Amino acid sequence: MNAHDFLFLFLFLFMFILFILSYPLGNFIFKVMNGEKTFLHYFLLPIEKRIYKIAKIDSDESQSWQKYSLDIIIFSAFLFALTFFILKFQHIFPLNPQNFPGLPTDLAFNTAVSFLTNTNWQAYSGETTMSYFSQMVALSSNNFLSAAIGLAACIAIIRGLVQEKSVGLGCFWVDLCRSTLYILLPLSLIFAIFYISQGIIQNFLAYIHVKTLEGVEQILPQGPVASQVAIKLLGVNGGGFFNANAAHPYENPTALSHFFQMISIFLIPSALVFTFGKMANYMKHAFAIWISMTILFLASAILVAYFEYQGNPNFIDTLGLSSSINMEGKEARFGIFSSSLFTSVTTAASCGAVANSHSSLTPLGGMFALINMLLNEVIFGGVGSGLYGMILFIILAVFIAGLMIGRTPEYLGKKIEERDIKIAIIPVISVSFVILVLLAISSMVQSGFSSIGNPGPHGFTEMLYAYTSSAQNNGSAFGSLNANTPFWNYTTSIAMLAGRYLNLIPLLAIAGSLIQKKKKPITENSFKIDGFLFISLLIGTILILGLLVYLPSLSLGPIMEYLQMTNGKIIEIGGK
Amino acid sequence: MIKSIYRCIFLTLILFVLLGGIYPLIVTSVGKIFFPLQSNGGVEYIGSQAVGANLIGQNFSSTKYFHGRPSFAGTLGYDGLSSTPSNLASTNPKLFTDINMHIIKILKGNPTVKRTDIPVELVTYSGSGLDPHISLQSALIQIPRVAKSRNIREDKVTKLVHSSLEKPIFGFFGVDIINVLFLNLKLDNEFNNN
Repeated sequence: MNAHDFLFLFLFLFMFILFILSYPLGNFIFKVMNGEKTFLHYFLLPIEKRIYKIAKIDSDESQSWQKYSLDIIIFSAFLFALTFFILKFQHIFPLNPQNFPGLPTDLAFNTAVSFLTNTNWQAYSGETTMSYFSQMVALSSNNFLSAAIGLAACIAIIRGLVQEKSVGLGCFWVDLCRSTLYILLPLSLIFAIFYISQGIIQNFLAYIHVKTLEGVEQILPQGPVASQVAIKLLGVNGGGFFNANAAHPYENPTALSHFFQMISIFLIPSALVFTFGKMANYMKHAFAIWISMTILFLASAILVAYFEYQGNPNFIDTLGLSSSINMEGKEARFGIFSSSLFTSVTTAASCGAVANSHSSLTPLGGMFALINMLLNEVIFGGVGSGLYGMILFIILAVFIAGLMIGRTPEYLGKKIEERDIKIAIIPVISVSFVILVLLAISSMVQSGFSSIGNPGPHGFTEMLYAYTSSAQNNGSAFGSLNANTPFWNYTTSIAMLAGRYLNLIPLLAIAGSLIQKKKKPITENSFKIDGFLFISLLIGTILILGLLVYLPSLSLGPIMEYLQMTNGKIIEIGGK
Repeated sequence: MIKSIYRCIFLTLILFVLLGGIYPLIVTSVGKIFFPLQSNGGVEYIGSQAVGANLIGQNFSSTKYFHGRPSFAGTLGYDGLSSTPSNLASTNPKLFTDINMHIIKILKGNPTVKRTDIPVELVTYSGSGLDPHISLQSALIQIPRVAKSRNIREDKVTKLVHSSLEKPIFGFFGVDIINVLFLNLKLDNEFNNN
């Protein structure tokens, strides 16, 4: 029995394991963020208290949404500056056995923005650019902290929805510390050690020179990989230690590590849905959200896998092979199904780690990966950002439903008013605006389209994918695009910053406005936010609001390429 | 504002030490104690000479060895410092000229093999450029060549191939694969006729 014969069983098992791991984790996160005691407090509470003392943090403080946002911005700015400095001057820091020089300014800028915004777009190749110090201190810490910012903000936004007339949304510094100490750090430790057992390396050795069986010298890059891989997936960051990311045998050595890498990408975003249910004291609503996410995810997983199995008809027609499955850019040990499943997982969540070449996906397989990102990264999505993105869609869905039946829209007993909707529309419009305008510019400017690596419509898709991935804070890429140029480094940085903060801050603003409103009891007359009707309404809203604006671009790129691939020969080589 | 900046600076520094220093060091120590082979790169030795890593594929072109998948890493392939997929699009003509080149190479080296016998994975570039594995079928079609080149009976090589087959973990995770370096090391070991 193998995965190929039991695709649906495999998918079912995947969702089942995800559920049984993330449901209790959701409860645990609820307790931690609420300041309640858990079993970890025996070891970690003294550390937490010590940190508050040194940094002069008052754990009972409650901040307004403006203060909370301002602290996020100050922290982000400092984190950016520190990371930029380490990368730019990595040659003066220790742990640099290969003596790599400091990064060029545009690349250091892009990388610092990328890891800060939880995107992990990488215009560099890890094994020939980054010292161990840069990877371990600058990039790994950012992996933790950018995820913690998302988690903290998400909890604050939920507080705004479920509490009433309280003074504020909580204290950013406390939320940040708690999510790092109690949630991200212990989970990373467990996963890192599991990964080492599977074969992921973790050392500070200089690169190893070996003489292959045929007598050629081969250099094997080394480094503290497992510790970084654990958090890159749990934090839904996705920045690989090596250039090939999760396809590299040192970063993802077995089918088992592959499976649990996929689980760990979805783990925290999925758990947060249940945390939300617990905080709102409305578990049925949480299940409705979780099921909506699952439906969207399964649809994409099945579609991507279907098109990868269908593969490239030219393998048979032109080359005379007996099968057309698309193994180009995929690793033998994962096989075609697990590889394409990883593609769906990493693009549905805003992870961006890749275990196979996305550029070499079939046109429609690649398109569904792209669509996962275009839907605003709400199919589980990033740590925190996935759920607050989903909350945005729920508010819009509830509003639309309210208009249809002619009643004041309410969510969790709170009135959604004109001002809230106006703010809610900012993220939706601004992110598509950034993607499409940058795409238009790069299609016209020589320094934009000259980076394209494949001919025909695929080249256009490369650019669409790049801006989508950066604006939606995903970070995966059609690697054929040469993104390490000043033009691409700076434009993708703009997209990443816009995508991160134009989602986060408007939602904090909505939370700040809702927290001041009185909560009406939920009665039979209230609009139901669980059950089949709500799930369909939510999925419909996501698809229409998220996708409609991109249809022209999708038909110019992947759809055109699909027609090209299936109609007629691309090249004559007399294979048959 | 000043209070926020003070908090920000101190908190960041503490967390950088914890997350960027203490955490990876704990992971490294645990790895060193419990999984010394894996954490240090899984290097394979013949005598005192390091000949490769169990997870990293190598270039094989000699007729007496099994060959791995095409690699886009570096000009010669399997360059440890240039891990990369080809990123060739499904409609890029170069994808087809390259695959055809790999097919022709296999047909020339293995006269008994037909185009339809060749699995797709043996002629397409891997995701990392360092893929250490091939499928069973990819190994099977190379047996006549290897046996002839080493002047040994085919069934002996076939036996070795089957003994190298790695089954899915728990019978569920993954697919049947063969580690090409392990297989070739076994070949050298058993039929020591360099």
